[in-house]
Amino acid sequence: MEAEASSFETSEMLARFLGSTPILTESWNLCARSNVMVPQGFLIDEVGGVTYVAFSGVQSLDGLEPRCGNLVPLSVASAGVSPVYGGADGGMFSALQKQSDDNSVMVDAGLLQLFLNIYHTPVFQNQMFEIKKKQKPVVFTGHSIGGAIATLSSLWLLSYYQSISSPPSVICFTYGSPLIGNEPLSRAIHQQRWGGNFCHLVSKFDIMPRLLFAPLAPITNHLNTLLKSWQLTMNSPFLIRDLGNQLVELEKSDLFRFVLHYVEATARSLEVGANSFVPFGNFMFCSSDGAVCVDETVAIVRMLHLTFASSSPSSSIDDHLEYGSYVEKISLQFLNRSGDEVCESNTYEAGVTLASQSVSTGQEHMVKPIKDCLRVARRIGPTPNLNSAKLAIGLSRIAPLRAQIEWYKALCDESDDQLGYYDSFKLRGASKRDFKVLMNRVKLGEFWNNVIDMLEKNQLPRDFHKRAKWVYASQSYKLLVEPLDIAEYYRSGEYRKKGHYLKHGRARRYEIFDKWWRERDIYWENDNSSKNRSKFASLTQDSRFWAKVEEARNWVESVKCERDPQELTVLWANIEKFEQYARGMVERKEVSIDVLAKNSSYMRLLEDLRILRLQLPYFSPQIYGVLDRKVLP
Amino acid sequence: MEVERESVKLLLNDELIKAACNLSMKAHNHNQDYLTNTKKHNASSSSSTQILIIAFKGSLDVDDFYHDDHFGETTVDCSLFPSLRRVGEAQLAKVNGSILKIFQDILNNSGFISEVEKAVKEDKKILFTGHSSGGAKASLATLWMLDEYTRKRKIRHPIGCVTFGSPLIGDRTVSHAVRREKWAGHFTHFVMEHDIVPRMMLAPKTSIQEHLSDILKFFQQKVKPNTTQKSHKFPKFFNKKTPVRTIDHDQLVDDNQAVTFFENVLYNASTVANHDAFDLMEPTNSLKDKLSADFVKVSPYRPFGTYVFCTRGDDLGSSSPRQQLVVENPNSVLQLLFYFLQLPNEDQDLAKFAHESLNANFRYEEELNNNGLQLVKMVDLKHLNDHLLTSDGTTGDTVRTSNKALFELTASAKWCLLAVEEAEKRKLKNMDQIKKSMRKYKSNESEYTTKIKIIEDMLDEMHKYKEKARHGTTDYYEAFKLQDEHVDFEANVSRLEQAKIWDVIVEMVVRKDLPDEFEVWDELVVLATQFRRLYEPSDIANYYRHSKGDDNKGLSYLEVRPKRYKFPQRWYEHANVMGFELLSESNFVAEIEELMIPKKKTVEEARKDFEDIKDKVQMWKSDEKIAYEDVFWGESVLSKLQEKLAEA
Repeated sequence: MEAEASSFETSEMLARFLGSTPILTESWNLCARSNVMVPQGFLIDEVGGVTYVAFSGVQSLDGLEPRCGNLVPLSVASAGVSPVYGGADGGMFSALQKQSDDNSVMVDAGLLQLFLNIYHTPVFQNQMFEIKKKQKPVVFTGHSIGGAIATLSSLWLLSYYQSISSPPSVICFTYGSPLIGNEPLSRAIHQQRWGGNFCHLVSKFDIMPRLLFAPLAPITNHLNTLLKSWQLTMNSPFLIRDLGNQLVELEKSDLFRFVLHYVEATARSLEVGANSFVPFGNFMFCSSDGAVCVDETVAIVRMLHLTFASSSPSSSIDDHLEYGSYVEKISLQFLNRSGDEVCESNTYEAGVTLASQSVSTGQEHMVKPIKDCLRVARRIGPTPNLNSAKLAIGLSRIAPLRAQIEWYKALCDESDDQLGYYDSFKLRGASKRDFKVLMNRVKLGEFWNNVIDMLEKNQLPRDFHKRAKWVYASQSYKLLVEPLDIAEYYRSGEYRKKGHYLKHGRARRYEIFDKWWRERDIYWENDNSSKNRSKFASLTQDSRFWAKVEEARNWVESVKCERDPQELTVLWANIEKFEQYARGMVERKEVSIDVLAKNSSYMRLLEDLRILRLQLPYFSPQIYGVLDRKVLP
Repeated sequence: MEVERESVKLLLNDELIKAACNLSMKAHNHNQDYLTNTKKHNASSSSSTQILIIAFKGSLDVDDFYHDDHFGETTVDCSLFPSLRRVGEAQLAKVNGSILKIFQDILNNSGFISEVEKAVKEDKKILFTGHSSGGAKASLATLWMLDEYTRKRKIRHPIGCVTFGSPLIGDRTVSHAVRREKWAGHFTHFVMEHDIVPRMMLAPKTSIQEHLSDILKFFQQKVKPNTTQKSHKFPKFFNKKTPVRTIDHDQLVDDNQAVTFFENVLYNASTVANHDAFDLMEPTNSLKDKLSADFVKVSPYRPFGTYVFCTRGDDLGSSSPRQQLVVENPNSVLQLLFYFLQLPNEDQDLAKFAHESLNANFRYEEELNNNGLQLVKMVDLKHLNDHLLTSDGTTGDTVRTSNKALFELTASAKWCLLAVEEAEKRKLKNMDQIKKSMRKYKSNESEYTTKIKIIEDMLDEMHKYKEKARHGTTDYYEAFKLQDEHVDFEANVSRLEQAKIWDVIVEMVVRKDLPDEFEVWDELVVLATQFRRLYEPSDIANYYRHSKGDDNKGLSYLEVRPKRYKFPQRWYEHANVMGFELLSESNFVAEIEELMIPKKKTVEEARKDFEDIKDKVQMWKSDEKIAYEDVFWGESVLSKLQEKLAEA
């Protein structure tokens, strides 16, 4: 197949579309008002069924929040926060931290503190409660530091909404916001497919969005002066320039050169350190001639550099206060015919030229580098739709593999040894048939890993993971094959090396498919009175069932030799929890018949438990619990 | 303006257009809903048939455009317009609610139907026409007649529609249906380059209502100069010899009103145009999707039919017509509706331009008198696409100078027009891919036999499986359900393979990645029908074998019937002008299976349903359009159910 590259460069088109919606003007107007009216606070407004929440850019009149410039793990936000405020499990930003002990996702300490200051106020909690109750779309917005708070608020609300099916939309528009986090944060947002929820407007020359590429310690004094003077101006009703304590030309020039040096270094280097700031979401670069909207990280960093390099010390400072006029220009673009003739035979290059015209504003020397930069973001390879069509053919090609496994399952379930599907595979010999199933399992896994890989590289249509066909195909794949993966994991003894499957062995694809399944649009959603099954399911409806069985087996083994009463209580509690879960599954007939095969792991586990309880009647957990509390005051 | 279905298209000529325009303007001043006029059609052939021109009167109240605060669209009445839908999804189109209401009233109350009926009997050709919202009604009348006469009654009667400055009335489903049925050539919409009315419905009422009623009043004065004078009844002694007071129309609408109205319409037009253009470019960025879901309300209306943009001389309102640009692709029309209305440059006086765009709605007659709107002067956009972004070098110059209006648009306008063309090419390419997977075409046999299984071959295999099993003791349905032998397993694999291919096709239809006419392509309908009849029983067997109803919270097969069977059935039903049915010859087995499940229905109910199904089966068996050997007639399951009912 031919390697088709995208035939349109759409960064300018997207910016033009944004300019022709009311969101830019509405959100900017509220930002400007919040700057004047509610220093250190926020304003809420509702326009056309959309709630706008604007955070004031005037946050600390004393100057810079002292912790700014230092990255801290995002998880510190939830430390000491009662579950009433944050999500009960995993904290306020649970969706961005895969494991609770994962501290690689980091944000700026100072900006996080400013966000938390507002977050913990009763006003904010009340307003957010209202918003959550209304289930209306929300726009978080903010100018300058307010933009960073808006970003964190959006991340928080998006995380919160994750557990809800069909949640309302959350969008974030910032104006001249500083960067807020590192590369793992950016990646986590990308993996959640939240990049499209963020649009950061950056004016060509503004120093603020580039600031955190540089270490702040050497320039703290300058920054404090600058921030004070900016905030005083923003706080004044008519944007009257503050004439108080200001940077002198030389200081401005020092500051500009210092920051430019680091921006340039970042744009040049390909490696990103864990301790440096990285952009995410869309960046809309504004000039007096228009705007372009870019979402590819490398292109964003290079554009941040290119446009900033053409700035001057004083315009890099003044431009931070010019967003009002940029927004106005962009939203009036529709009125006149403007722009130069474009003579490109190729539609892609025509788009690049249009985009470069929008940001170069007569600076001829910038045209070529900007064009090069936009081409970086060009999608190479077939179009997403073509890819998806090819995958669908691939899916039909692996259908026989799946059918074979299904057949195998039927054979196991009917076989005389009464082991059932799971245990047959776990205890399999060296037959040709078993080997074939093993191979099919591997091939299917490769196929699905490839699907996820393509999705994350943006090579598939944006709504791919919402398409019924793929949601159902991945779900039935998961239900059929994950038990085999679990069997293989425990058979090969890998769990002894790494720990249990659920925490340490589960392939990422299954987590992702769980998420797709949770987020699917269900047309029988209203029908909560789920009817009872008449027969056992053809496949166990929780694909992790066997992993839970294995863990329970482990607990039972431990109980036999454990002597520490405290440990024992915990073990028994776990076992009881499992029993309850499994009983429920069986009663609702949500398990496949292989679970109830006479010699299956589950049945043997039940038998073990029964015998154990007979042997150790005094270990009954209730009694033990009481004893426990008495013994240890 | 060509129609593939011969003869039903009414050929236009300059004289006819002129007559239509005159009658349309005249219609405004009469009390009837429409005016008629009969003309001789001097077609090149000697037979001089007659043409009945029906011109609808415009209505100019705010409520005649918007029946709510937003865009005033409403779901179309599917008994009047059965074709205005997406076939596979069975999704009905939306049209302007107010105009639809007026049209329904005309149908029900006036002698409209009998007038049409008479014309058809007398073998007169029919031309619907109208100015402004009259044109919108003419479009609806034409759509109605095409469905009622051409499709339903299969009367090949020449029908045409010419509108002048008509507002948009249908959503993209109407636009899709018109192209699918190849009706676009029946409609010729004349639009003056700067006429505001064809763009008006791109704006929600809330954004323009401030001045809307004043502006419509101004329109009213324009179309009814006589009544205006009459309404100013001064006592006689006042009315001296002074000449009759003529109202300076422009004073009814002041600069501020005109500018606000104009800006809002143009702004909303730009939203729609940018929105659609961005989508056509196959972007990977998801920001727009997230926005347009909840935050940005975009007008549902899209153009359909053939548009003729009348562009004029360099100065506003100046004499000579420059170019009549014929545009057939609705996406291109949308882009041009926006870009032609942009101010030519920053020096342009906005107020003057805004007033002109209001007045342009009344320049059609004048244009005709200046020899505009003439067929010979028309240039088709599709012949110019290649020149849009090429340099002024060799070929460009003559094309450019003779089509100034188009080439004076901004670079982005031309770029968006190219995006429309690329999208169209992409759809054709997709269709080509599907074609290749359906049948073995001789030229590229070698390439495809190795790689992809052809649908047709698989159908043959299934046919063999079905035949073979029938000679045994169990029929193929039962055999498939039991899955005892290796051939059954192979049949199941074949089922899965077919399923994926058809799922892809259906998904492409849903995502609108295929040409509009795809769903009525006869080769597809034939193959899909065969697939449905041969394979659906195996899906049903699989569903009840695994009692999937339990996984689906007790839903029956018919409630979760896959789209790959629903769509083909609707394609078939649409092609045969039938209503959409739930039960068909390919899926009635599922209903029988349901009746076998105890406790779902009482015995009496089950008996009745059983008889109903038996009747239907008889009916299908005698239907000569249904290939007998493709269908599984359910003998085994039917007799099983009969036994069961007898026992009960």
